Amino acid sequence: MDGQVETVEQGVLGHLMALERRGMGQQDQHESQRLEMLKVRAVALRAQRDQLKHQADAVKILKDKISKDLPLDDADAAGGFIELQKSLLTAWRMQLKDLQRAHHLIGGYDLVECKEGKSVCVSFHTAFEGVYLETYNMELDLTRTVQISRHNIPPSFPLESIAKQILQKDLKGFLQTLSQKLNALAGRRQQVYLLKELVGSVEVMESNQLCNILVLMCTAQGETPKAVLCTLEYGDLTQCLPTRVSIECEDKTLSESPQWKKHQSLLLESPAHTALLTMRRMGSIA
Amino acid sequence: MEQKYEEEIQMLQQEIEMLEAEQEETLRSIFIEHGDRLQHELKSVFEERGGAQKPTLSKLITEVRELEKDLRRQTEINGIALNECFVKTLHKSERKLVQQLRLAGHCSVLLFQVEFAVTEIQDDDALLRRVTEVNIVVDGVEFKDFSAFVSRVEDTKDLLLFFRTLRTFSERCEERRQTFRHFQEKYPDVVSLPEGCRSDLMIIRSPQLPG
Repeated sequence: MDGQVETVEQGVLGHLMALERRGMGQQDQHESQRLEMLKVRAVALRAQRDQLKHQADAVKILKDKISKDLPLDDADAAGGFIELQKSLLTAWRMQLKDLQRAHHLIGGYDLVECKEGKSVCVSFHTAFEGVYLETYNMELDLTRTVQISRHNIPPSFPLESIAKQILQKDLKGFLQTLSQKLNALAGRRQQVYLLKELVGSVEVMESNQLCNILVLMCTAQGETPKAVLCTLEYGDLTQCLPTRVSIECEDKTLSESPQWKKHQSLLLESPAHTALLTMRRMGSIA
Repeated sequence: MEQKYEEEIQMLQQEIEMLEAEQEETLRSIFIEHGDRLQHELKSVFEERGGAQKPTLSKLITEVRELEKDLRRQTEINGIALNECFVKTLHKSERKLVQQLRLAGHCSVLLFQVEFAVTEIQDDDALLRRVTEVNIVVDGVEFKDFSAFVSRVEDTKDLLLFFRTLRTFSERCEERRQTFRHFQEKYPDVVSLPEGCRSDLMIIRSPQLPG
């Protein structure tokens, strides 16, 4: 009996204390407002969660029906049938979006029609060693002849000459050539970046916008460290590898040595940063 | 009191994220297994025009129509037709997305199957994307000497190079096929194609000259 009275008293007391606290100024007002907001948010989220659960159940039923090869159009109620169609269409839409993304990821041109079909916009995606790099965009005007109206391809790139050669005859060929050359450019540029990042001991003496020439200075290890100049010429703009490599050093015996002849081949056959990392690992250079 | 709500809210948000992900996977799996049948079932829905369509569906239908149209455009300009596309999301958070994709399709008559994994990280203002695994299977008599190239592409993870090269290769194969066919039609006595016009072998044997 006593216990009961005590708890009732505690209840009343607690309530009175709460009221007292509530009467205590602005701070409390803020707190109760925030509490209201939280309450409202929780209620909304609960509703969202419940709706999702309901949808998930509907879709599971659908999946089950399809798996068992049951007819889909004998749904219990008209409303049920619409839910079904909605789920099917949503599934279809998801698949189509996945396909779009796939085209995008494999380096597609993401062609978009603009100005009611009078022009198209294409994107050139570039990548090197699995890393996606710059994307270049171009608008092509198709009204009379095919013309490039806008683009963000670097000015050093021979865009005009390529356009002059192929654009009118063969649009797809033009896009292909551009994609090939832009990817090669991105690859060459990325090699210079990786070189600086990973092989800090090698100095880039010369390079250019088109990245078709690269002059590097390495320090050859030995009794006395010697400076070696490696010149990489990229004669083929569709390639990421050089067409010519020359090694120069004050000490002719070094530059003519079989070891450096091997290094010369390495620089011709593998990306610059990979070759230099190998050379460093072998102890040839610092 | 506040804390209780905050905890509940966090829990609900997680639950919602999980349910949405589950829903995505279930819908994907439905389409993977039963895509053809579904498209058939939905044909009747599509054929309804005007007021016959329910308003809730008409937006979805329009979206699907637009997406189909866009896909035809991409297929045409890219020269790559994708017949199968399986996507599996391994990890999804605010800043990171890891997916595995399995694609099957063809470039003119050349068939391919490509599996790859891609990781995307949102880094403030830039999106870093990289391919982390590539597996390629090609099928067709034209691919006899292709395996070295395929190995190299798999090692360097150069997915884009594979598809660029596939396009060019497919065009060359087509040119060769037409050339061979042309010769065979014009000189049927002298020219033979023992492996068919898709191979790289054409034999010219003159009945009058030795050899």
